[in-house]
Parts: sequence; C-alpha cells; structure tokens
Amino acid sequence: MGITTKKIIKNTIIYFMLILGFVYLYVVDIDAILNPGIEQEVKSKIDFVYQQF
Amino acid sequence: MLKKVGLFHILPFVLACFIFYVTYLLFISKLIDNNIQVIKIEPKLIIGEQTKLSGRYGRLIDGDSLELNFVASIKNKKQLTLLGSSEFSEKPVVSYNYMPNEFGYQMMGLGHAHHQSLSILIELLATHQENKASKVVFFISPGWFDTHGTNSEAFVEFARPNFLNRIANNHNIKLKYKIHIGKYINLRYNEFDGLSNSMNYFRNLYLNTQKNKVSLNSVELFIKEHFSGSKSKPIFQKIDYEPELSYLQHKTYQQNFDTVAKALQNEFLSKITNNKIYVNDDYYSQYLVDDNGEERFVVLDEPEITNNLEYQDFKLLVDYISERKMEASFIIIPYNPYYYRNTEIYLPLIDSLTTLLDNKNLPYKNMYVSDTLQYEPGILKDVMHFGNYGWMKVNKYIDSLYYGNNH
Repeated sequence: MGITTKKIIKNTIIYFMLILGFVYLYVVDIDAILNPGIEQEVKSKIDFVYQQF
Repeated sequence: MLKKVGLFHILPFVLACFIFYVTYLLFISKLIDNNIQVIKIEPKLIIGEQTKLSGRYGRLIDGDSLELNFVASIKNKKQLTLLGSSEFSEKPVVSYNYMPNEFGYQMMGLGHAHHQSLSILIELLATHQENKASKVVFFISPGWFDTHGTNSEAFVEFARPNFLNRIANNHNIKLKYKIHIGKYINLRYNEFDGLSNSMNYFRNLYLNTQKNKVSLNSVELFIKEHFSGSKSKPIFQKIDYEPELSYLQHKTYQQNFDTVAKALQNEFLSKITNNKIYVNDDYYSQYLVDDNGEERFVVLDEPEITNNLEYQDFKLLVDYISERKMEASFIIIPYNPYYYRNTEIYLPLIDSLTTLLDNKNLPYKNMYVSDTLQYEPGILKDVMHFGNYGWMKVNKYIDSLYYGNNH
C-alpha cells in the first residue's frame, strides 16, 4: 500500500470520527436519545442581579 | 497544491460522509430505534395534601411539593391564585395574607422580581388539565415592558422541568403556545447551560416553522431530523399531580376597607421625614439620593409596543386565559410620577394592554397614573411597589369582584 493510499485512509478515518462526534455529541444529543423521557435540570449561564428598579 | 487538497482532504471527507451515512443506515438508526422501543418510562405521580392556603412562594425551584401546591391552588375553585413579581412581599396587608387572615378566603401568591408574562403563561399551560375556570389575579408591572422579555434565569426558576414536560406531553395544548416557548428558547439558546429534552422539543417545533429561511438553524434541524433515529418521536415522562384539596373556614370581617386604608395611608405619610416624593425614608436614602446628596429622578423612554417581546408574551397569555375561561382579573400597577417624571409616555402601552383585556371581557383595575395630580400618596411605598394603602385598594377590589362584598 502506497503512502498516498495510507494518507487517504488516515484522513478518511479522521473525517469520519469528526463527523460522528459533531453529529452525535454537538448537534444531536446522544444522551437524550439513549435516555428519553428523563428531564434534565437546566441552568442559566447568566446571573441577573435582582434590582429594585 | 489544489490536487493535493482534493486527494488528501476533499476525497477523504466525501468518503467519510458516505461511510458515516452507510454506518448510520446499517447500525446507528437500528440501535436508537431499538433503544427507544425497549425503554418504558414510568409515569411520575406527585401526591399530597394541599397545605398552602395563604402566603406565597417566591419561586418553585425548591421541590415537587411547591409545584403540587401551585397546581392545587389552580385546581381548587374556592382558592384564588395571585401571580405577580417584585410587589409581592410578606407584609400582613398583602392580599394573600390579609384576605385569608381576615376573611378566611383562601389564596396563595407566586412570584418575585422578573416573574413576567412568559413564566406565568408556562405555569398556566402546565396546569391545562386543572385550570378551566380557575380564579387567578395577575399583577402587571409597567417595568416588565421596559425589559427584553423574560430573562433566562427567571425562566429556569419558573418554567420547571416537570412543567415543561407536562406541556410537551399534552396534545390538547395548542401548537402556537408550544412554538412560542420554542421561539424564546431559540432566542436565548446561548444563555442556557444546555437544553433539556422538552426544551429541545419546543425549540425544534419553532425551528420547523423557520424551515424556509436558510440559516445555521436549518442545517442543525436537518441533521437532527435525519440522524436522531428514523422512527423516533419525542418521548416524555408523564407527570401527574394529585393534590388532596383543603378548604378554609370563612370569617366575618369586622372592619371597613376604606377606614383601614385611610389609617394606613396616614400612618405611611406621617413617617416620611426626608422627602416630598412619597417614598419611605429608608428606600429614599438608600436608592434615590446620589453621591452629591441630590435627589435622583428618571425620564422614561417611550416603550415599543408591537415589537416588544413582553407585550407579545402578554398578548398570548391573555389569549390563553380567555380560551380557558378563567375567572381572571388584572391589576395594573403605577409608577410613582414624582420619581418618573414623564409617566404619561407609557399611556399608549397601558391603553394597548387594557384594550386587549377589554376585547376579551377580562376585568381589571388600572391604577396607572399619567401625572402627580392623579396619584394618591401611599399607593406605592417607593417608586413602583405597592404600599399598605395600595394593597388595601387591591383587597377591596378582590373582595368585591370575587366575593361580591362591599365592606
């Protein structure tokens, strides 16, 4: 197997992993798919100061 | 150079996409679908006695029993539920304390600062099964319309996971309300530390309405639709509340509202020593005097109406209240016109609110004033929160509207 073929296979695997990670970890929440119905407690990243006015 | 990029990057990327798609079709979709079919989610039943027949909860974040009492308050047609924001306090003259103590009329309040139209709408939607013809009083602060709608911290405090789950699960709730929640979540997406299942569900409902607009959202939606499992539909745990309703014994009121109110007004005015704008001394010295000892004041900006997020939330809230035929009423709180120098600038907004209510035949007490001549000192204890005198006016209104009395 030539160097060119090896590099193409290596890059194909890297891109495959990146696509898999992007889709299932970032866009589609795999945890939500595998544990449907469990409602998580969500927090706000912003702390509002409760002012008088 | 281009040939190298094509050979070592574009070709592997295309191959990777192809392999990913084939892998998805052969393995991942089956894995997801099997998992969803196998999992049976036990319903969650929250049972208990209704114990909150007076007083208020600032928020619902502290457990299921608070949610149960709120649902009970909505379900119990003998009880009034008061929904408001920073005007709520623990003072004895506040309606949810005064009326149960003096009359034996049961009522509970819910809210603190930033508890606005959207949070209130979500709380009511969550009680869709229980809220037909419920008795609810809404306290509307003009300050709500000066914000960019509900903030995300208040949202997570009041839009409880059980409530969102319940709304998502209830197919009798009109889609327009669910889409509106999704629109809000999408707008504030980056302010949340992740989204729960139901928040994702609402957001996707909204994104589906935006399909024709090409954006990053549409790419995201495409991926979600195609790679979340071919047969999968959102599944939510069924949440049910079974409160055992309680009732208060009525009492005979020995006093007269106007007499008590007048005494409270005089008491308030006699205690003011450091200002002429009818604000209690402590508040005045703490907030209304600048470093040079000069009295502060505010010139209000004219509020937006049509594009005002809070106004849109309020409009939807009024629609829902009307649809459910609730015995609802509204109290519109004033600004102190001695501090806010141009309160008349809010009149078009206040008129729009009252027109919405008139159109739905919903009763209200509009206490907003456009100048100092209309303002009764003591209605507010500071610049925007009811004083004892103001609360007695509210108590009289509630007594007359809901109990047909004229004390």
